[in-house]
Amino acid sequence: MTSFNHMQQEAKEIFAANGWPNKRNEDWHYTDLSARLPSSFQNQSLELSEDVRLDKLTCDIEDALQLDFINGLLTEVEELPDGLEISALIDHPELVQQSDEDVTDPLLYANLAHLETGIVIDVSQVIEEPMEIHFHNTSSEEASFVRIVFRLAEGASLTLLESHSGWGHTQLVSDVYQHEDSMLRHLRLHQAEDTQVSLLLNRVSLDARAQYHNVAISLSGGLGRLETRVTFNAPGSHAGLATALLSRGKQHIDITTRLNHLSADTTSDTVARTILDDEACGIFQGKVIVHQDAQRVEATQKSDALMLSADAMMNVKPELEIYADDVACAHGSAIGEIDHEALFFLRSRGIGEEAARIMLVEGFVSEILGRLDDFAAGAVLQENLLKRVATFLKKSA
Amino acid sequence: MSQAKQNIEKETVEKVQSLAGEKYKYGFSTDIDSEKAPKGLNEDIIRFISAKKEEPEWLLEWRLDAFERWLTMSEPEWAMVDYPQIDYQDLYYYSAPKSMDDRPETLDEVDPELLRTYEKLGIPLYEQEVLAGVKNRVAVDAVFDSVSVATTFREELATAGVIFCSFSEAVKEHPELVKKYLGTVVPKSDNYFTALNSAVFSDGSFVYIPPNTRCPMELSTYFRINEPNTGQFERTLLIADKGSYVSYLEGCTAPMRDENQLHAAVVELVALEDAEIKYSTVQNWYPGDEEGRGGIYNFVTKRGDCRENNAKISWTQVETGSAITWKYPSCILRGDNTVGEFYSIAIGNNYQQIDSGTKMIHLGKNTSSRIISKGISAGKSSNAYRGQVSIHRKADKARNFTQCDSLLIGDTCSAHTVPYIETKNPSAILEHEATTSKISDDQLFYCQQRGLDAEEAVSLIVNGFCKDVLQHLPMEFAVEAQKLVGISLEGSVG
Repeated sequence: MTSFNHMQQEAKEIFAANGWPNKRNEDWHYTDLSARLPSSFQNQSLELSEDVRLDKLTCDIEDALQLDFINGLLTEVEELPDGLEISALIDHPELVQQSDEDVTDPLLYANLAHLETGIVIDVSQVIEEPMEIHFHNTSSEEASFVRIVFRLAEGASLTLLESHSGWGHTQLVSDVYQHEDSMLRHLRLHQAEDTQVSLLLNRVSLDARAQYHNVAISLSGGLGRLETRVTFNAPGSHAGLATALLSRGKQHIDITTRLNHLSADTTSDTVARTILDDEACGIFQGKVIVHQDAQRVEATQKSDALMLSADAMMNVKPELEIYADDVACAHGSAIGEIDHEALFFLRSRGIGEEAARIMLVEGFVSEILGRLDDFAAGAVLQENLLKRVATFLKKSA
Repeated sequence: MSQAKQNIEKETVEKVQSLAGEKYKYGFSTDIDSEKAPKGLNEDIIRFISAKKEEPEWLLEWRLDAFERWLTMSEPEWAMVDYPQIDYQDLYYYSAPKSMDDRPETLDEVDPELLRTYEKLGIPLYEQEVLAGVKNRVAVDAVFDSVSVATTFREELATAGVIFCSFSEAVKEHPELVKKYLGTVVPKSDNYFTALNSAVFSDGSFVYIPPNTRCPMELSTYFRINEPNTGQFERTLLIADKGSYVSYLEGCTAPMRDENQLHAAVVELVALEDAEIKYSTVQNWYPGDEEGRGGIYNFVTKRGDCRENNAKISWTQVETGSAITWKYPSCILRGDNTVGEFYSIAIGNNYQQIDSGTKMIHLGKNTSSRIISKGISAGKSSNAYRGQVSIHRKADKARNFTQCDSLLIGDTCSAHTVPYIETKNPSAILEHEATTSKISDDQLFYCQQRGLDAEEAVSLIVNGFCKDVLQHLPMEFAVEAQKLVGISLEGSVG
């Protein structure tokens, strides 16, 4: 077994040689990191200041488990309930060992090369209390490199509420291994300062009948890439990915999904709603791959974008790569501005223009928030997020 | 799964297997002496081609410049096609039937061997002359290998002021037009294959429609690749001046060969104010045998420029042949209120690989584009739609609708969709839809319970699948196109 240090050394060499990906890399066609990111990062401060105030996404449940990563370092961990265990990734080098394909994956080698904190979370049963994970950088000098591996045993389930705030640079790789009949509900809120760089990669591997539900809301941040890759290994597995992206200023946010249907009788469903104001640039790249033996796969992908400003920019690339014949795969994409007739309708009912606009935009993202219905404390979360969306829109207006 | 359906699938597989080779009725080659340049590509070959065609100095310079650029470029690798490395030095870049030196005045003087070839092809060239007085006739500029050998209806077109001739003739007789428009839509160094074509293009068609003229007939060119190991590099330049209209048909068949033949054509369309160009293609080159041996490599760059206001360019293509198709007929919507259209049927069987689609570049205000692409994969083929819709900052109220559907027949083929949608203008409305599926059980059942047998039902559904595109073909082409779709499709679906 290759040691962890050896692998990290290797990753450092690859990063030194290849650096960040540029436009020539088709996966990074619309998000050229080499032009935007430094090639090296300073040593991170190991002391945490006391007065960090976190703008956390909370479900207001007292028993909720809390994990805080400040500047890439995990703060104190409370007592864990039965069925939940946390261990250090350094003791599990096998979980880091990368496949050949991944050696060239910039997000992975960059993460490993700079890794500060790596943990493994084992879930062996149904956990009722949601787990809140928060990432925060205290200054623009800070860079966080974190990797978390989730392992859900057969029949286990977990609700994960992940949020990001602060400045600097955050790079997170979450690897999720879900065994038979397991269920992970994953809410991700990305709301950071305008200068923040967030590169968030989710890799999910699903066994038979495993279900992964992801709802991602991105409200701000400077440069962001929210990437989710799901591999369907056995029949009955399902992934639902819903993303709402609200962006303004000079933000550049990239939503990338890659759904790899290796097995027959698997399903996936991707929805993305993008709202762009000012000079923001939004990107949706979605790819569905159905392998030759993966018959009876149903995969749908939908991307809609609303452009609020003349200087905003939207790039969409929804791909299908199909090698099996008995499938039903579809993708749809629509881009446009606010419907003037709908606006007129609301105004003719006595609603002010600004309020009418906000109402229409809220309606546009409500489908994404609606996906939280099945989450623990779903209603509280919806209310919380809707407030954030409204604040965002008021600032925009 | 019902018994009947299982039978269909079994039949499908068998039919697909039996279809290859023997059904390719256009597979033969004609033995005509041809004059060739030596193998390989260098400046001397380019000078040879240019001298052979008695070209002016500026065109030779143009070719040499393209060649220089080509040397610095590398073959594109992004398309979903896989083929052995092409040795560009192992190809002939010029070949002309010998009897070209004294150009025949009438069809009687045409090499009888050539006439027989056309006869086998079913090109009614001889018949055309007989039918000269008939309305809606088709003028044929037949390209045999690299040089146009017979052009009909020239005079008739000339009365209307329409120039329709081979490219080399245009260089001699209308150098000012060629010089003004050549390379303005597809620059020499646009991509690897255009640079190659610009350096060594042999011949092709030239069309000029004068202002406010409706071309009195459908213009048509039949291309044919005949010499083994001869790359054919056509260059088509079509200009529709203000307020004119032209419908241009392009159809291709090729003899059966064991070696791969390279084909890298460039088509440039220019539509000025209020002009409309309708460009239709039926492409049925030899696709290779059932083992994937042989077949044409078809790397084509086609682009239309709606250069002035209210212009319209419409591409319609039925792609059933070639081992490899790499082709993206595109529209640059530069003028205000311009319209671009792309209708495509691409059918792949056996080991055919197709990577085709379009680009719609919206630059002007109120521009609109429409893309309908139907991909059908059978056998072990791979069929990819690759398209780009790009709305630039000043393209207010631009509109695009894209629909790309794929139908899979059998479990060893593949279908891919790779659209790029980019907008920098909020007032643009873009819609994109794509589906991939096999023939639905519900549709089959519905047809069968209405009394159709399984085979008829499948063929009905498949024909319906293509209808959106077929109906955009001009009358003259519809028969041939439907026949081709029929051969490729009915055989493969039962």
